[in-house]
Amino acid sequence: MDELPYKTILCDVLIIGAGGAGCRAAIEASKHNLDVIMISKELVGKAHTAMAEGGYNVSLGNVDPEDDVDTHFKDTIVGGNYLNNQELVQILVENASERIFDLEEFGAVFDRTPEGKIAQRTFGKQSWRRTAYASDRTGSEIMVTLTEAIRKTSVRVFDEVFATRLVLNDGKISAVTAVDLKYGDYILFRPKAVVMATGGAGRIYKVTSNAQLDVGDGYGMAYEAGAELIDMEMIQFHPTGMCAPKSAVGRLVTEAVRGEGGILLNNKGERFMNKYYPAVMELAGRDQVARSIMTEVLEGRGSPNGGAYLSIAHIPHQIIEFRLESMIEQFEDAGVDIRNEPMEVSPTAHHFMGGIKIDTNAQSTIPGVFAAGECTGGVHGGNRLGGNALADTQVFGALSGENAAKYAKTNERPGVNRDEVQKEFAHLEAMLTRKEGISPSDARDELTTLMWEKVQIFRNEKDLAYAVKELRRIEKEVVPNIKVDVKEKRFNPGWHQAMEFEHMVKTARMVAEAALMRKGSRGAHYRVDADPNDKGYYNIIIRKGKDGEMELRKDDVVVTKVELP
Amino acid sequence: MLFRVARSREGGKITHYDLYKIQEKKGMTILDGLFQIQDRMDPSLAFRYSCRGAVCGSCAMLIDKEPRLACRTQILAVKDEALKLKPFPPLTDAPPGWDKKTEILIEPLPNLPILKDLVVDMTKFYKSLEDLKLWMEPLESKHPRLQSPDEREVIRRYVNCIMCAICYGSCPVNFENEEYVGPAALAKAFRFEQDSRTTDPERYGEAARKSNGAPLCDLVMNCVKACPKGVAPGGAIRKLKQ
Repeated sequence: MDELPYKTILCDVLIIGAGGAGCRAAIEASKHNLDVIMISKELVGKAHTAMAEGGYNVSLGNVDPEDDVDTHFKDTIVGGNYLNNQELVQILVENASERIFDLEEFGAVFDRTPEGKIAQRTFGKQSWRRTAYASDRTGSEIMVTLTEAIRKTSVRVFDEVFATRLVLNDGKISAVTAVDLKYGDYILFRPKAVVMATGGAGRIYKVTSNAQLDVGDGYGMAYEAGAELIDMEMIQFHPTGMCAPKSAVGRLVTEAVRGEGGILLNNKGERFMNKYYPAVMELAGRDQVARSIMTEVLEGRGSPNGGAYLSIAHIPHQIIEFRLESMIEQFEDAGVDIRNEPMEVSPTAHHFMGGIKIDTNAQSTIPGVFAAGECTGGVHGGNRLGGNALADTQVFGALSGENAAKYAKTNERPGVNRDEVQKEFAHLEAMLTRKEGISPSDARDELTTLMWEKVQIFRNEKDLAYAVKELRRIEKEVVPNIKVDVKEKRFNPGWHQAMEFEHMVKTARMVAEAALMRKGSRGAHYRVDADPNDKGYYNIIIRKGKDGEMELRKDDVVVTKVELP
Repeated sequence: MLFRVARSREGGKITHYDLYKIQEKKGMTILDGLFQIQDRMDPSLAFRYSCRGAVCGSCAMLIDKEPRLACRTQILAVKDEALKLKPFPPLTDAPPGWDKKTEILIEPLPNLPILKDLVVDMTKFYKSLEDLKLWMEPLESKHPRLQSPDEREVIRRYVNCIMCAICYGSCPVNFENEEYVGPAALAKAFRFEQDSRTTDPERYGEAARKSNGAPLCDLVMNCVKACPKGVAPGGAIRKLKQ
């Protein structure tokens, strides 16, 4: 076969992903007088970070002066069901305040206390009012601000460029293959260090709060390159996603609604959280609230669209209009006035607690590959507290950017195996030239339905075993036969979906295989057939073995301060 | 419902329109309709989208000759809602054969070069932000700056901008004058000028009042009517002009 043409682009640090973590990493790396490139699958500023609504956890004590770093630490560990890597949590809680001050310096506009300090509100499972916010559009505020801050730096931004594979040399990062979606060109980036900031993979589920492009590219690429991943079975189902209309199913209804006093009711008008978690009611952990809603639905007390009612009609209109302005707009589009009528909500796939395993320098197990934000695992354990994800993006974004820069300064650029590069581009090209095969949108429907039905909130051995078997089949039979109908390379959505599909399948397989291995219930992983002897205080580590097969093993939790129960 | 969709394989200009029959349901948005086309009828149709919820601002396009976000526009309501914009050629020049009663016309956002189908090149729009240096000058401090709720209130509506470029696409001045930086950039300049924390507020006002900025605005106010987030750039520009 003829060689496919591609462009080679050299740089010092390559950031893959341009959400909260990617932008923050790029800003930090650019302070070191290096050539930094940030690539984004979509236009810069459109990333899923912008959809985070509720806020950013930081123990500033602006509202509750009793709050401190240690309490934030403990709340995060308890909330994470003790599965968190405590070294990483320490980094999170210690640096959250400096990083929010950075955001403020970049121009972010947070809501304020009467004294002019950053305001903080109640979120689930936290001892104090700790969550800083900008109405219910905190992520959007942060995303816009970071985009402005990036413009001021020397960072070279390549938008609508899709990374497909990490290429190693002697176990170290040496190159990244990519496709320019605008023009259909192949690109080979040759950085000295890489930061993965690729976000989550809610899109492997049929019902999700995630933006269209959150398909798990980072998990797939890191796995394929041989990196270790951790806690992949831990998926947070946000308890409150929209149930209707169809187009909006899964869209996030922020926890701030409950933080501001919203109550959950079943179809009999009963405030059912009273039965399950009377002490904390609607502000129980996200996994607990999600299971409570689903139990009501399964026992016949659900709303018409299979959810529960979330009401804030008892709260003064002025407060709703000031603190939940996007929610008013979001439900207006669905014909519901939330000031007077209840919202209908049900759980939606929201956040991956697991991901690429990183050390305290935010480096993965592959030298030169750093990672930050949702694509990493370990910070949030078995369940993430609302508000900890935005803090995660900023703290670990900055840390990964700094350490990637240091790595790039002290390491030479490795050579690159051209055959491996050609093989990857030929593989992408084949999706377009194949005569027979399966369409990417059909393949995607099959996968997301399988995950939603078999690897969901209530899990059991039979379903998980079935999902694993099916996913292995899809990996062997469907992935190599994906066929894109349209041959045009520029802005070809089918081709783009086909490239994503491989990453989705690998990600889904890791989730299902880890879920099958964990026999007890812990954190977001809830087994209806839980083995009572499996207390579950361990992490599951996944990597691609030397024989090419998926390897899973149990590992001890990293404990520094809070002993396991 | 029928969608009449502008096509441009190579970019540059609209070459033809394709007609698709959409199975519509109550609550369905234009974006849902476009997905239906892409998934079931024509996988070659290119358009941008991401969040599905008016947060990311990717899916701005011309819908029935009005610039809107596809994700926020209900198929069944399009014909009943009018933004009442002041007309200029892209909002009035209809393709031959368009039956206004039965077809929803979908075209790329005006005033920006077409890359493919409904995808436009945003470079010019972003470049204005860069030219006006629309970012904050950080203070090297480990402590937060104070800002009272009243001070925050001054810039409240302007920080809601999601950079969708609908104002840019709705502006007759942007249509006539390549140089004009456009409403979003000026609104953002005003937002920085008015931010109580800004150390050098004058520079934003000065940048905005250069010859390719606020002086070019005719206060048509299409931007105010079309903005999906209530930012009202026109109000900010009026103040910048004073």
